[in-house]
Amino acid sequence: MVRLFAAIMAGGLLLDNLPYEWTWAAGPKHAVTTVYQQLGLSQDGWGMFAPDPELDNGSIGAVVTLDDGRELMWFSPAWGEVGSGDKFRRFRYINYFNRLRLPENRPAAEDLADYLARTVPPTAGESPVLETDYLPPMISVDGEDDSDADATKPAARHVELFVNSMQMAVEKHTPLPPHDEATWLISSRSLVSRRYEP
Amino acid sequence: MAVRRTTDRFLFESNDPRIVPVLRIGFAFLMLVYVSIWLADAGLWFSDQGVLTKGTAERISQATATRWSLLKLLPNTPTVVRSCLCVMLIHTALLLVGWWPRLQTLCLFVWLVSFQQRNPLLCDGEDTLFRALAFWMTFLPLGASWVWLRRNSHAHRPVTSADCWALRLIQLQMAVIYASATWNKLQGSTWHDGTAMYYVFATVDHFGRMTFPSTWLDNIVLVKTITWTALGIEAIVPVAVWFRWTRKPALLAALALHLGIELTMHLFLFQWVMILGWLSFVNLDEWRWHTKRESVDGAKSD
Repeated sequence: MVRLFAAIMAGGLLLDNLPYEWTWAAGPKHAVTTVYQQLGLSQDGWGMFAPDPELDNGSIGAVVTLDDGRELMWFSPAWGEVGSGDKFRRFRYINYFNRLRLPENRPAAEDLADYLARTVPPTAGESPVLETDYLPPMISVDGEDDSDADATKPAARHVELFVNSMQMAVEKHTPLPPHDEATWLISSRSLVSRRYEP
Repeated sequence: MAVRRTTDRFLFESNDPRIVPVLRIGFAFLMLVYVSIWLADAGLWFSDQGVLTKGTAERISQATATRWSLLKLLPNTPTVVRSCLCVMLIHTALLLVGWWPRLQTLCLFVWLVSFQQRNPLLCDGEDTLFRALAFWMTFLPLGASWVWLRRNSHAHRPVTSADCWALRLIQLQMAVIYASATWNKLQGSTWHDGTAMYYVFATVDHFGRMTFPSTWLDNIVLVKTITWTALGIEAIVPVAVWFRWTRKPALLAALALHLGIELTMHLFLFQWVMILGWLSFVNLDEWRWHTKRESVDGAKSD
């Protein structure tokens, strides 16, 4: 029994991780991956800076328009300015903001827009840019309070969430420039635009 | 018969049971850190009052991932998800002290799947490895030694190599990770031309743990050397690690790679859980320098 079980699990592990390029094994791979997904065991290949490292030093931003027309801005952290200890403690934020840009995660971007609409306080001091610790703290919905005591539930708001991309421009067949002299392409695109009704 | 004999020797006679408690304790320590970091922002990441509602999480993971999660059955309030993570911490602590350790790893596997499904945007390869190790370790005799809280001292018997057959699954897991990563890297162009690390050096989220002179990071010969060395290690180790005479240098190369990445990059616990996985290949007899090699359980090593 042990031999059979070990053989099945080892075979499944290998099939689940076979490259998609090996089309001759696509059928068995699909079957095994489906079963492994149901069991919570699926791995489906390993990337780790593959096929090429993704280089985008941009950020996520949001413009929250209050009912009176004022606009408040929020930005995800500039990771280059964050220390090692904070990056360790906040590593989940790095993953979260990186994955939020992907098209398949658009529903998650809508949820973030709603979250910001709920939690961005109505005043941000002198500056229209919100100074916050990564994300504004949660506000109670059903009696569980995770926010400051004086936080109040917001009225209807409009939230525009956008991605600021910052990618290195490298010409093919030319020597790579020193990092300090590299040209960076900066662009911005809208992720979601939401009207939030509490 | 010869095939069966070879298979039996591979599965049941050539593993070192002394490495099993090292895996258990190392895994428990890493899980303590892993869960504590989740706990710090539990409501934000996993409750319906946070950045991702339960319904959206199900929509995102519907096409590709596991459908089950304990958090689907529970109200997703901050208090509930924090309580679940506290339960997870208790499982981890019990695994550390060795109280019903197989049950603890099984429970940790269930919780890992549940939380990773609840917010897949937080997760990457290390989460997959934590989940896989928790599952494979369920089949190891984790409570045989280095146990501080034994449930039945009379039931204890010495663990043999035959009890540790699941080490082979962990070993295969590690080899598959490297082989798969190598293949996927070879599909890109930057690993071929040796410039991949140039781009990695320019990332501000993952790179930059140690400060290096810019002349080093811009030196294209050094960049290519590092790129191809990393790729070479990932390509050679999953083969070399299976043979006795090349195992030690292969494991040392993998260790050097991961410690190098740990010194320079911010990848949370990825390097440590990888090193822990590679420890499954260690046979302590092979690492003795000056005494005559003794076999484990009287059996020959593969």
